[in-house]
Amino acid sequence: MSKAYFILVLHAHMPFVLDVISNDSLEERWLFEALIDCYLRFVQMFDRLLTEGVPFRLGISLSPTLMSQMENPLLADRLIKHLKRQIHLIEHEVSRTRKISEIFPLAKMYQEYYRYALEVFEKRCQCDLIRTFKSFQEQGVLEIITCAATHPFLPLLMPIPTSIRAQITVAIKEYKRIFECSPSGLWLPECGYFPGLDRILYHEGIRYTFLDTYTVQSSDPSPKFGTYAPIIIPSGLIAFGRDLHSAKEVWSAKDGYPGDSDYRDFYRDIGYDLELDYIRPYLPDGMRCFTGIKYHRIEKHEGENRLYDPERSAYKVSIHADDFLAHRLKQIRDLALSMDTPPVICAFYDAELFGHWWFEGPQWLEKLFRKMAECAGYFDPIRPLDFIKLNPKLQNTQPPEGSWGWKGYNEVWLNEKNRWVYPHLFKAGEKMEAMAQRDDWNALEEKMLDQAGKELLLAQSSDWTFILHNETLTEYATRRIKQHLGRFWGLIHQLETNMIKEDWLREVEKQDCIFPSLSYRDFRMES
Amino acid sequence: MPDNDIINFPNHYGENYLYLLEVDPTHIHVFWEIIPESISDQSLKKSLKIPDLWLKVHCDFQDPLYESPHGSISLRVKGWINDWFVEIDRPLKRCYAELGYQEPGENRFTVLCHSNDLDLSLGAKDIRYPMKAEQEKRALPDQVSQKGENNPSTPSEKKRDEPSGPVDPITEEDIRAYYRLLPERLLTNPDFSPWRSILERMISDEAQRVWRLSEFMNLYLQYLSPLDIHSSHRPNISSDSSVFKSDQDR
Repeated sequence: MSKAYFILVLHAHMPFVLDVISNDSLEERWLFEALIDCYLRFVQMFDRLLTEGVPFRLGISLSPTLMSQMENPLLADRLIKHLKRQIHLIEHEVSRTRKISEIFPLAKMYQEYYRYALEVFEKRCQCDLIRTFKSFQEQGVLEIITCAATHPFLPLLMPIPTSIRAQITVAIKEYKRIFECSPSGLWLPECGYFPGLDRILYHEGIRYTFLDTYTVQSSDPSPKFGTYAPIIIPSGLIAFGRDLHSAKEVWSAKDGYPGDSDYRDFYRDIGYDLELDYIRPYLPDGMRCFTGIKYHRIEKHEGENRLYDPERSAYKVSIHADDFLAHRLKQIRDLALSMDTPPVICAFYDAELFGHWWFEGPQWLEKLFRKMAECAGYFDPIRPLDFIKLNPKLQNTQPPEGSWGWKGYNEVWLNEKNRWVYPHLFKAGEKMEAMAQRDDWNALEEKMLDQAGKELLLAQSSDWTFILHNETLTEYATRRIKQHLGRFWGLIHQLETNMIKEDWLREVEKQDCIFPSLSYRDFRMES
Repeated sequence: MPDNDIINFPNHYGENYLYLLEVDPTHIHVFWEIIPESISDQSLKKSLKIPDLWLKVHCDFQDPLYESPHGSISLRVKGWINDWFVEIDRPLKRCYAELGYQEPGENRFTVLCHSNDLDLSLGAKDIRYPMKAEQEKRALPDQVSQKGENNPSTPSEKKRDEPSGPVDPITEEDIRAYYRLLPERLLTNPDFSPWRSILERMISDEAQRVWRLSEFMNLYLQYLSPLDIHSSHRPNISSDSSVFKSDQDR
């Protein structure tokens, strides 16, 4: 029997950015970059580990908005076009840098990178990433869980409980539709929890979730083993607590591995570095943005201009995987002295960190699993539900509210920059609840209400308030909130005045084509 | 899809409402809409004058370091302000808000709308707050502070384009702050010596901190009696503050 376990959970999310009309929007590029840099590379990594018999296990939470886009054929088609455009760009770069001996090998590296990504998506995945991930789940190496439907920060929806329930219900229905089974776990967006939320999750059939370190540590009574054993909340929901140490080593912008000066610099991109006239054909609307082609490593000192060296970075990956594992082994050696059950170290990260922000992240994960294989029987990776089955006796305790955001509460999603959003979300939520109570709608009216429900959920995404807080793409986030709520009130107004415009409804349905399993009845008050 | 769907986005809803949200256990955000008719209909009958609105926030506190478990805050609302960030000087347990006005010539508060209830009662052992309580006691605040629209707070930045971190790790200074909260009587008690050594290990060894912290906080809350707290830390919050009122309003 193992002496300790390691639960790795990657939280994969992307807001709904599909724009049916506009081809090659900047927001769709976010999605494509994540698919290429992270999820297609995960597929390659899992394939290699499976082929070589390395005993890896992990959990991944696929947000329903991301799943919806992964299964969208229009986006699959656009991803292929995007990859072909990237290959075209890098072929230009290979020609341009042929006589620049330091950069030429890097251009060749990217040429190989994008060609292989296209091959993996078209041939290995058959243009269907969902089915590919599902097959890993069926092989027992991956446990896919869900997340609230549009990734809202749930503690700030407390005044509209029917919306909270709808976010959970729709997420579970979508999971069942896509995977043909029920999810065991649900990732709370931003680890945002409040007492009472557990009852809703448990009632909907969710067995476990994940909470931030301090939320678990503050539980009453105090958890005997801190975050090194899951807790059971009185409702019956099980919660895994985030291990602070493994989080800090990877996640910290200041001290984490991704900031090492031998790793690739995300911000030095040819989209900004090269002449605009040269790069313009490959930019959306000709505006400068990241292209994904980056030749430099992270600056150690300001003004440095060092080129990326894949060999050096591979060496660092190995060192950092060793370092991470050594720290975990030290942790479990100390824990063994005071615990009478096998400790579990839970490491949660945003999936996008691995590959997108931290280019070497997937290599590091792969290296870590390979090194962990050498500790088999002593320190083993395990999927969350498998751990619960092995360790059914858990401490009963009640955590307080909390999140993994700045200061551990709600401030990131409720401050001077984004406070204006909430009254609009609440008034729309109340209206939706009132409309959903009625039973006398005809088929067309039901379609309108279903669409109104989708618009409301899309407006509730925490991505918008997060962007407003960061003041990065404020105009875009503001437009999305107003657009979804504008469509919501437009639909409601037509219903109330009996002036239904079917053409307009079809346009809205085509644009916000998400969550086919959603019904307006999901917004009813609990009986 | 044309962007002009935005024209359906309403700026106002033409009805009275009042919502209250938690920012953290010592900060709340209140926002409302009041239709002018709801004020004038009732007040003009008597004085032909539209009164200023008052926002009243009624609180139960969870911090054992203070004498009174309840309090209320009254804030005068002028002009077109329709939201307010309110800072409370100690962790909340429960609260709700009312918006209304004082009827001219009468000592009667007319409520126009009630907020939702906020219940944080299950966070009573929150390990994040003793540190804050300690910092605040040093300043001995006797008034809640207020932040209105023109006095924005400056929340610290967490950039999307950088790997974001957890809340600050527990430092040696934090542990020492916990330590300082303990009364002398307890520190000199021989029964306490094993815990004292744990505290010392937490200070000297970073790896021990999180692991031991919850155990220590449990002990901290269990051992401290109200006598200990009040003898050393009693703050004076019921002075002549115009903002903090007794619980009689409730």
